[in-house]
Amino acid sequence: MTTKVSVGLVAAICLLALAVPLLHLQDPTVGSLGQRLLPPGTPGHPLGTDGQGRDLLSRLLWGLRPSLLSGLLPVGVAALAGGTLGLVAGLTTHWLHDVVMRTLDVFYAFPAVLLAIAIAAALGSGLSNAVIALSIILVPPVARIAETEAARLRGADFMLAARASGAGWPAIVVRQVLPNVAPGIVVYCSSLIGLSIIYAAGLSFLGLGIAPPSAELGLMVNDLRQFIFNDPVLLLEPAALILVVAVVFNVAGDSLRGLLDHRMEVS
Amino acid sequence: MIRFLVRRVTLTVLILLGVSLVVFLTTKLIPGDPVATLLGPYSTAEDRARLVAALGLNRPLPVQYVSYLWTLLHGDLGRSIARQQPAAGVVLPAFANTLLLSGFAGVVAVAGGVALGAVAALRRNSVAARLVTAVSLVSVSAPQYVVAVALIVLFAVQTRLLPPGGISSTIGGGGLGDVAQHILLPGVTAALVPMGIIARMFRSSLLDVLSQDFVVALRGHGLPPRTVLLHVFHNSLPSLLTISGLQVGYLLGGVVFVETVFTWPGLGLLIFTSISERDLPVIEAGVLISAFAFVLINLAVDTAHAAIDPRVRA
Repeated sequence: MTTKVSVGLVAAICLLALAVPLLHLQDPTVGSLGQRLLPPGTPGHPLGTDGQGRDLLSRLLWGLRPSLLSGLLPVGVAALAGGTLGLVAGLTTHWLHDVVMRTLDVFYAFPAVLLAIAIAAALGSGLSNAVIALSIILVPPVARIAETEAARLRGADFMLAARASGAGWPAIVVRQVLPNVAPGIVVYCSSLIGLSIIYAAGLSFLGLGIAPPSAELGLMVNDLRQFIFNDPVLLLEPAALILVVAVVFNVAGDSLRGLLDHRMEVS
Repeated sequence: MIRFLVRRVTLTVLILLGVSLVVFLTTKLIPGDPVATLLGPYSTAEDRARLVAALGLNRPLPVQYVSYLWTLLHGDLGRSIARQQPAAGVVLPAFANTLLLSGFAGVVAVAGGVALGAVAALRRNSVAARLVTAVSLVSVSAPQYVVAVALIVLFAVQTRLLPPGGISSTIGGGGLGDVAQHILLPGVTAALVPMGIIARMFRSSLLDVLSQDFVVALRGHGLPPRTVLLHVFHNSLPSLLTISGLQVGYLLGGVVFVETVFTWPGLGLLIFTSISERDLPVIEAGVLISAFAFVLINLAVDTAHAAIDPRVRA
């Protein structure tokens, strides 16, 4: 029940973000200074306007796109890179395993948010740099999960059988290992999406994401923060949207994870 | 126990070396020429060559790393570009403020998390338990910058009960009560996520212990429920300790947003302002300090865990 509803909501949010160009909203980057800080409910501006007179409804919806993109993309990159690293480490027993795992330990020594901020700051602000920074901090946890999953298979009978029947490593990895480890990795990664979205919006909140005047939810929170004393409602709009998106993705990820754990207990 | 400590401390030293290497390498991998940036657009090739030699940037990377380590060991964290003074003098006082904030948030998180988790585990099907699950879910999903602005709107703008930011009042401030008033909102904001996680973990660990045979045996013996509960709590202590330690460690790195919104003069706010000033040495020094603190906290947690639970010493 929770799973269906939350996954449905995730799909709805993604569809909405995809459909934004079709909605013919006002230009999110052009405002008029005569219409600054209009309250929600103003005719023509249902959610009000920001400090430069730009329509907030349009900015929220357009801002959802980079927020989702910079949250989803790092998880995808981390799934591929971390998954590969973890599989390599999990399937080998020699020095390669130790090199990979000890290197990951070093990355675990950094508070993740701070490492992302440091990398993004070093690379310079911009959407792609934020994605790179987030991808780097998400790789170690994914690799660790993949390593555990792959290590479970190391001594399995069907692996021995595959090798005895003369299958080479590429065939074994594709036919035997991937089908066994992929569900666990994919589900774990889906539970990281909510976090990744929060971090991504956080980076642009700090000025390390997409550059103004483009709309992005974290950037909007930081931008509207200066009006907190006189127009708090305007600030709460992007803040609430980030919260809703994060909760939806987290609930969906958690319930998917719960389903898989349950399946594992049964089998 | 001594063997455990020796092994764990050796590992910690190795990890600290790795941390310093990562920070060193980020400074080397940044796009752009730092020397050209320092000298400006009108510098000659001669000027640049002289500065490269003076900064030792023409030496091989491993040599540079060793000399970087050497200066680190002497307490030299580099030089702030924006402030033109040693980075240590800027970073360390800020770190003290961050420690104060995350220490307070840690206490709130552990106390709140234990209470919520216990209610959720012991009154499993009650309304309270459902409420706790919902609260801990939302608190985990709520970005700190969102909670922060919401709390400021509620308590500082609408009702004016608490100050919206800073560490003390500008006029007649600085006393214990004054700082306590200022720490309340940022502290609660920072505590929310770890509190939710601790509550969830403590709940599942309590349920886990409750389902073990010895609890049935104790009840069968006719022990009063309160005494049984004491044994259950005692058995879930190690996992509580581990998760709490980890979360308090995360707080050190995670308070960047809280400090930024509440203008709390800690490491996070310093890093935020240094980002807009492009003051990379300060950012690196800040990241290095919090990573070191994080590693040391983990060492302390593991040691305490080993002291309580002999099974992990092996």
